[in-house]
Amino acid sequence: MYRDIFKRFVKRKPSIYGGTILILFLLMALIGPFLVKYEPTAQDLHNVHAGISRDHLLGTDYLGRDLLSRVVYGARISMFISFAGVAMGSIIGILLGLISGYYGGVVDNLISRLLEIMLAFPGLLIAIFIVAILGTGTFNTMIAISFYVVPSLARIVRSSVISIKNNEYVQVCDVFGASRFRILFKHVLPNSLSLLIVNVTHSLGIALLTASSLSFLGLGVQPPYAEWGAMLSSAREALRINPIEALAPGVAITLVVLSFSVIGDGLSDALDPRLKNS
Amino acid sequence: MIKYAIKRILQVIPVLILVSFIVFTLVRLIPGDPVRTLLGEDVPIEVIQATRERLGLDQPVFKQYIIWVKNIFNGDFGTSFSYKQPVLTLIAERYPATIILATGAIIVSIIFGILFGIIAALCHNTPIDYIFTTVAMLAISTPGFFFAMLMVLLFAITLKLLPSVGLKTPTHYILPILTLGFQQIGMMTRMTRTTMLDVLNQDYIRTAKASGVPPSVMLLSNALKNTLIPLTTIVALRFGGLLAGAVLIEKVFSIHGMGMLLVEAVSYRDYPVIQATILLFSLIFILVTLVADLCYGLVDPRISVK
Repeated sequence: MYRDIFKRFVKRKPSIYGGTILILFLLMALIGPFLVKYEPTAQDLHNVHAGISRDHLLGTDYLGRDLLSRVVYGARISMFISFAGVAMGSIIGILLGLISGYYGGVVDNLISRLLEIMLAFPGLLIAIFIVAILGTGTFNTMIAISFYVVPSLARIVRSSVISIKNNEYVQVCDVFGASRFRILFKHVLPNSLSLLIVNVTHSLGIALLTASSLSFLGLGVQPPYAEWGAMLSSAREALRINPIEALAPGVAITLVVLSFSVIGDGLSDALDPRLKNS
Repeated sequence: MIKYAIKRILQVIPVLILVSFIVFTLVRLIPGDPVRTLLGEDVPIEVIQATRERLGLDQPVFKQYIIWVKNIFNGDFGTSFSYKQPVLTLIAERYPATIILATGAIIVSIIFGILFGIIAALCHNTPIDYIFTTVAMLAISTPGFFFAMLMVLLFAITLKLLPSVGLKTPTHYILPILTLGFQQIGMMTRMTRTTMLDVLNQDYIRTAKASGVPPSVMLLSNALKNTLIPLTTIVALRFGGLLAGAVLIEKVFSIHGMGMLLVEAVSYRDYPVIQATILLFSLIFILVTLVADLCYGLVDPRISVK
């Protein structure tokens, strides 16, 4: 079964491109920091806004920090934040969806209203809202991002729970004395797995976009850490004299977000061939 | 229809109450004492006590909420900690820029997005279709603030055609509106393309084709009309995203709009301003969604009957 899915996935050319880009960036995040010459925070005030040279392959920023090292370390920070944020949000979203769908009634009503309101707000505004309460910083950025994922996942799980819980085989499990926990996690959840995987993949891209937007506004990851959005923020001042400072992190964000959405589309085709509509 | 409209308008009330309550509790969630944040650390205890009473913070939480809502209805959103001005004055100064940007961007995105989407759908599976879908995908994936900087680099710095700082003259609006609209054009193109392809596969289109209706008439009167109906809600829902996008665009172009006001307020922990801007943003979303639903009921009578 997994082989079939994989075959269908690689049959689409964009999926292969997206997958390759993502693997390259993941490698960059994992082993890149061991390969670069400079520390991402090492300043060289005699050599600020330097252009491309053999010493600094992408030049330096306003504090003379090596841009290549910063982009490479930025891959680690930016991707870690989006993976961790989406993971946290997914767990909460899945749990809320299970509770809401399985118990129904007042609980369901309350959770559904809350999710509707969360869905009505753009992700970035919710993130700003959370940062307003918790304050800025790397960990708080993750929490802020996780909120975005909760409502969409919760709704997927909720609707699949509702459609499955009245099936005979679930009732049989109930009669045979299986615990609610077991029914939910062994029988209900796997049924919505493919939708969940597709949604999580798309969310990873949006999470990266939201995290870098927050940092760009100065509300996310704080200096001196190398985060792509924060790098763009400081590059704004130097756009006139050294545009590569903005181009390098900007292209990196765009490529990673693009690869996540392409992979998401590919997975959605591969996991559920019936849903082939776009 | 009137019955549907009334029902839909009444539904807004509980949502408004819930949202306002969430925004209100924001201040209660902040670690630390809001009065100390307001007055600073070394203020005599009597002053703090007096301020607490003046702000109604010695009352039970539910009563405080009522007072807060009552003040809002009287146009009193409190005083900004950092600007030392009434919040309402600040917002009145800042919101026109943001609304103009968002409205301009939505008009741009409707015109170009629907046009490109229709072209892509009509040229389904041809190179033209691939070009439009690829560009749309790129538009969605590029962070708005990065695209804005690229536009500044190209049009303001390299070609020296357009200004890129502030909103002094009408030409100052061109770059921010275009950049804000770009991402939305991508989304609209994709949505229109998918909806149009769906419509083109329907039986009534086949019937129209078979009975010899000229392709241009069929497209304009049958296909386009049915494509636009689902798009009305999408446009309204995108408006929220546009306001969020405006926050980033305002920073790139140094525009003093609502977005920058919110970001500054969050950086300075200026809670009255945060509360008011978030409340205003949510009010706009709720109203826009309401209008979209009502329009939807108007163009598609099946909705209001249900």
